[in-house]
Amino acid sequence: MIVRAKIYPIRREVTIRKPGRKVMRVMTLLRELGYGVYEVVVVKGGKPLTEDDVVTDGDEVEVYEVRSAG
Amino acid sequence: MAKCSKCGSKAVIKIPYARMNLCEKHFIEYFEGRVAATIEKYGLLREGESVLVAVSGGKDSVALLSALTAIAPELRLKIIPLHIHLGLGEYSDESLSVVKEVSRKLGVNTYILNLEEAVGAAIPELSAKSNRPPCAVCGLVKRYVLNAAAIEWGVDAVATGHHIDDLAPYALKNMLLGDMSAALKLAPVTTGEEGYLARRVRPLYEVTERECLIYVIVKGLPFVRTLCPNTFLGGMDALIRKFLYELDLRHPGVKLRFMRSLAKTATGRSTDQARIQAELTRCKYCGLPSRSDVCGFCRLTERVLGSPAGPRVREVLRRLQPLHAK
Repeated sequence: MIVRAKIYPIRREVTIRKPGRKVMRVMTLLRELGYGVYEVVVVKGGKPLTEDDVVTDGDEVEVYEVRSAG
Repeated sequence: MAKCSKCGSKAVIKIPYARMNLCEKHFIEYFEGRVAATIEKYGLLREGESVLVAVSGGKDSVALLSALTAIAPELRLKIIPLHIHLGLGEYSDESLSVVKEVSRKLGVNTYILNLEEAVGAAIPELSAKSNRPPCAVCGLVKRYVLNAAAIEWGVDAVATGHHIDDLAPYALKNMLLGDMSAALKLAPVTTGEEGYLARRVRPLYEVTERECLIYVIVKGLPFVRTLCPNTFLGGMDALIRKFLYELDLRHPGVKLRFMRSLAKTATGRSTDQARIQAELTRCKYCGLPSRSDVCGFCRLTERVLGSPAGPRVREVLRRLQPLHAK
């Protein structure tokens, strides 16, 4: 499966590939991206996801780092 | 899938310290209720008061403006948003555009002060010519303008979007460095003096940065998604933030307890606050608070531009008209 993540505020795009899988928990996605559960907010289709939610093949998510931007 | 602890529908947030998962609707209620409870608990604002809301366009100030706007009718508050265009290139232009859109969505009339037009120089020039770090200059300018606006407009208080994740690391850092008196500045409210020094309040004192972010997302509000070009995320501050993050992960709520205890200490030492204020005098140029005969803002602008800009800023503020949301 392939999931694309746009990371803010640094505006980086990362593609996560997990061959042979159809779904992935958000917690796993965050581990792949190197974030702790409460260090970011993952958003899909304008809705925040919790670490228990899953993303599926082809999903595009936004990942917002929780830190002051200015 | 996590379910809302109140209604059983899909949760958008887990709040470990409150042992709750909440859906969009109940999280909005929770967040706004928490802001209202903070206002009441610490006596930040009284019914019928006017409050100047500093709105930069970042998630925290957008969350603050939205929550205050939502609870304003119940508390009969008059909300007066102010945005300062700091002249930081594309970042400031994006911030202004976000503030306009947020104001339109919330139906509030926001005042916009363009620093370059009001003072004759923006942050980069003030920083470069004074040889001071841009963040120090920016902080000084914002504090000055917010206080001056509140005084000129006869507003009861100035609200800023400082949340627990801004304040707790700073408090801990000051304690580690032995500067206990700096803790007084981190109270949820600092007293003012009519016609001179505005009361400053922090309605987000008991919410986290993550909650602010999720709140603006579920409310469908825009916010600035880029970093300020001058942001520095290293040094001791970053390490302390990381430490507090890890600590709160293992002991949910410890940050909140720490800040509540600090608020209690600061309130108990209100005589110290009064003493600090008693040491203030009036700037000989602009008449606003100062520790010496010239305030920091007038000293900075005099050095950079040849004349102090305080009186000019006060004059610009007196004539400033808000953008109309509708």
